Amino acid sequence: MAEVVVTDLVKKFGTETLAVDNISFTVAEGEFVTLLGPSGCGKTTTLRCIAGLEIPDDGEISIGGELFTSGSKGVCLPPEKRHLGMVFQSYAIWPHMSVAENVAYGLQAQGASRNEARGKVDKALELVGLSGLGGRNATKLSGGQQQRVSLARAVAYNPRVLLFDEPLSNLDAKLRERMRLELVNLVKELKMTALYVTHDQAEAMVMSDRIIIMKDGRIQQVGDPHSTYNEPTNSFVADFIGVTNIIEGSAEEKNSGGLLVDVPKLSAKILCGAGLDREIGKGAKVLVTVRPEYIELHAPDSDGANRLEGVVDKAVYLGQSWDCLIRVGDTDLRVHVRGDEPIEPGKRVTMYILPERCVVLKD
Amino acid sequence: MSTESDETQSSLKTGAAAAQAAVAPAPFLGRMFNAENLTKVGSLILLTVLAIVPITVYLQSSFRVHVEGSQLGLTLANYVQTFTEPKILRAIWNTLVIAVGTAFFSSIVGVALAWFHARTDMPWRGALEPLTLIPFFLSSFLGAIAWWALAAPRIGILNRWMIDLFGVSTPPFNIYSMTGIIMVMALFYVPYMYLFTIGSLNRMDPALEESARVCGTGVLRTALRVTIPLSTPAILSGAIIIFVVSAGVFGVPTLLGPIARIDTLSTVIYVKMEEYPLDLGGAAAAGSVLMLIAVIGLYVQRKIVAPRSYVTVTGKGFRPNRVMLGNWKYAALALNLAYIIMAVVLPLGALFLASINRAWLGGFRWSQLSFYNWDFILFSYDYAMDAMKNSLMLGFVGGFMTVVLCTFLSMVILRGRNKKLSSVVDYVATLPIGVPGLVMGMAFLITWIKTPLYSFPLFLLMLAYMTRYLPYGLRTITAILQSLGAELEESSRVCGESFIGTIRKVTVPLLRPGIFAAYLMLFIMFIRELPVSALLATEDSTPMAVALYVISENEALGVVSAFALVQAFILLVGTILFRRLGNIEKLSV
Repeated sequence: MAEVVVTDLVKKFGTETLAVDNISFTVAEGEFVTLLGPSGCGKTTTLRCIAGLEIPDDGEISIGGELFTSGSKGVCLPPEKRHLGMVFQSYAIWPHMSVAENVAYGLQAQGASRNEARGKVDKALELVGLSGLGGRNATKLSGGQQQRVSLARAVAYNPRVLLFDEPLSNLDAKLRERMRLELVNLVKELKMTALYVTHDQAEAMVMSDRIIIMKDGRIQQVGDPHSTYNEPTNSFVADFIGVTNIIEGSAEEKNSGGLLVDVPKLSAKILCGAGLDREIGKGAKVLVTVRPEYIELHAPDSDGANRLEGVVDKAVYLGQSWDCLIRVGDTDLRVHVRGDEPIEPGKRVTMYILPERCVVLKD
Repeated sequence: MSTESDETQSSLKTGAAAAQAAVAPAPFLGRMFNAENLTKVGSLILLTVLAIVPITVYLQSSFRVHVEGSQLGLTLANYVQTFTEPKILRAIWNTLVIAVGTAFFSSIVGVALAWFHARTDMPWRGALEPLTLIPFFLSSFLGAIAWWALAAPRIGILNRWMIDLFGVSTPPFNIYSMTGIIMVMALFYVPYMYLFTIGSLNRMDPALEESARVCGTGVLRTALRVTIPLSTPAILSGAIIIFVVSAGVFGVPTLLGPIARIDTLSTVIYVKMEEYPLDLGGAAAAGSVLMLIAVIGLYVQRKIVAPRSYVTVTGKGFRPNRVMLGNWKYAALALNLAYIIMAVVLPLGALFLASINRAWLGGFRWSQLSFYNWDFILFSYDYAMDAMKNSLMLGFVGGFMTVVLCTFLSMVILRGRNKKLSSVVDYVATLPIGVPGLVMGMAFLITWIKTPLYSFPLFLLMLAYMTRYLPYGLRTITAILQSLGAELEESSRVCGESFIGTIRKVTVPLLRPGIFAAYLMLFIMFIRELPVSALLATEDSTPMAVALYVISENEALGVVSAFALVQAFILLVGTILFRRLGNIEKLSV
């Protein structure tokens, strides 16, 4: 009913800049999907095209089977005809209206009577935890409260899809973390379809059913938080989400355990068990990514692949783990070691990596 | 959720389906002929009628020689005459000298005063600022009349004082001179420069100055090497705008110039149009030269100077530390007081004294004390009273209509999704800024004189004001609209409110202070308007400034002074009224 379908969307700014370069994706009914990427990747432009605030140059957007925008058919519904809810980064709370007037605005715009609106405003304010603040001047509230008003305003008239444009990035760190969960819970409770834009990968991981990672106007990878973290398809995704080591090597033989990659800089061979869903010829140059927390310091006794010898170069204590740089061959590996046992620079260590944690990238 | 929200959803769906059906049959038309594009094209048509048509008719007439009753073909004769007749060449030269002189002196004083107020510990800053700005609300023409009373060789009060008190044998001051004209105009434009620069000085990150101090430069050197250079693009922009505006000023040279035979382009145009034989083509060609000066100046300002402004404002909130001037702060105070005396106290004082003497012989006499002039101006001089009515009408109604148009156009320009059409509207709406008032009045005159519109002279005059001053109102409102952030309106659209509904419920209420500021500015400009009206006003539509000009030629100084003070009174009371109504705290240019 409220499925979002974006097909071959193109948006240029001026004649040169391709903000959105031919992207397609869908958001299923009731799903929480995040567009994630660095600034300038086209995620906000995509969202604004869906809201009708930008006119795309080409492609189609439809929600619940209704065509909103189509380059070839010359259709472009104005934003007010789309029945969407949107939460902006700046909150966009109208300073000349009270909290209740802000929330009632959309209801009245869509033809709700005064009484009907009042009931729904109270309900929406209760949902976001602002009961009783309806009479306040909205701009006198704190940032977090303003964001809640903005959220109440967007959900009050039960829109078909909720759009979020970096709604938490103006809040301080602690509040931001709390709001992530509250926001997701609320959206799920209301069984709404949501499309969320952020540049904060942690936020995307916590909140989303699926994440769409974008760069330079193109989609890099689509997947749930688990797969995007553990099986990144290219070095951009691997690097953008979390912390990682990316090492160069050349493919050797492929066997049942995975692909054996020779890494001269580590003076070692690494058996890679993930990212192998494509043909890789012998001798081909490949990039392999390994997350720092998947490198273990206590290797099993048996000799063989994925066993590395190194010297601790630097070690920083982070509380729940040690963040270390360990010199292996000609290069440093980033390694996270759990526990609080002291790790001194200069110490010789033996490391081991499970083959399925070594992911061959597609670039 | 509950059943009632399901109902809403289903009703939303049918509404949306209907909307889709409406768009589907004519997809291309649906894209081109939506409300937004129609609004933008409509504004373009309106602006074309208001601005482009008169300017085109005007330019075209500068290429024709008008012989009684018939027109010859296109010719360059008018321009050849303009650039060969020594009188006109001298007028061009005088215009440039006056404009450069005015821009130069008002910049020096204006920047110094702005720096004193924004960045130093000069005493009495708070009390002196409103006094320093008073000339902004008066008019240069009023200043010319006042300085005529002060420094005319025989009847000037200052000259009489010098002769009576110090026994000077010849009158030391002569306002009928190039120096006199430039001084009167520079005094009047100082507040413009002050307002141009005070904003950037107030907001400048004090760390920029503090680091210079830490590096070992003193107060004055820091000001001269860091503060002022950082403001140079803003100062230059302001100076160029003053140059352009003062090149087009008509009132001051026409009052103070003739005795010393100082012609400027604007007085030449006026004489060609108003005196026999009428020389329409020659006037139009001289006007084109004036327009060219304005266009070149504005081009340099917009394309070369303005883009070089430095970004000196940081996002951090801070309270700028003031520069300690030591004993120099009394010198700063003295300069500021001297300015206020010359630009406000002496002129208004002279006008007041002259207005309460029955006959004026260059000094106030108790024996001549009389309220005859006031009684005459306010209760029995129909010409003056009609002019007052006309000006109040133009100021309140004309100002209101202009502000409505400006608000509408600024939204057309800044909002909506069709940016190309927006920039065309912006361009056309800004065009009149390059058209001097006298030229605009002449353009309206020759375009509409043979149409029925000319039977409504006051309305025609209002349209001309509207067109000429549109860019100023537009800039005030667009500046505020730009600072509002589009998200406030976008969220209204997403909530389901239409383009027009959003303007009514969100944009206009938020713009209120800006709208009042623009209304105030237009009110002031319309009440004191002279150049547009000088050629366009008829006997029935004479506004105050034109009446003041006519009265100054025909009546005694006492009557003229009383009438000038009436105008000043209307301007100052109007200012207070608007600022109260609109809660305007800060002034801007």
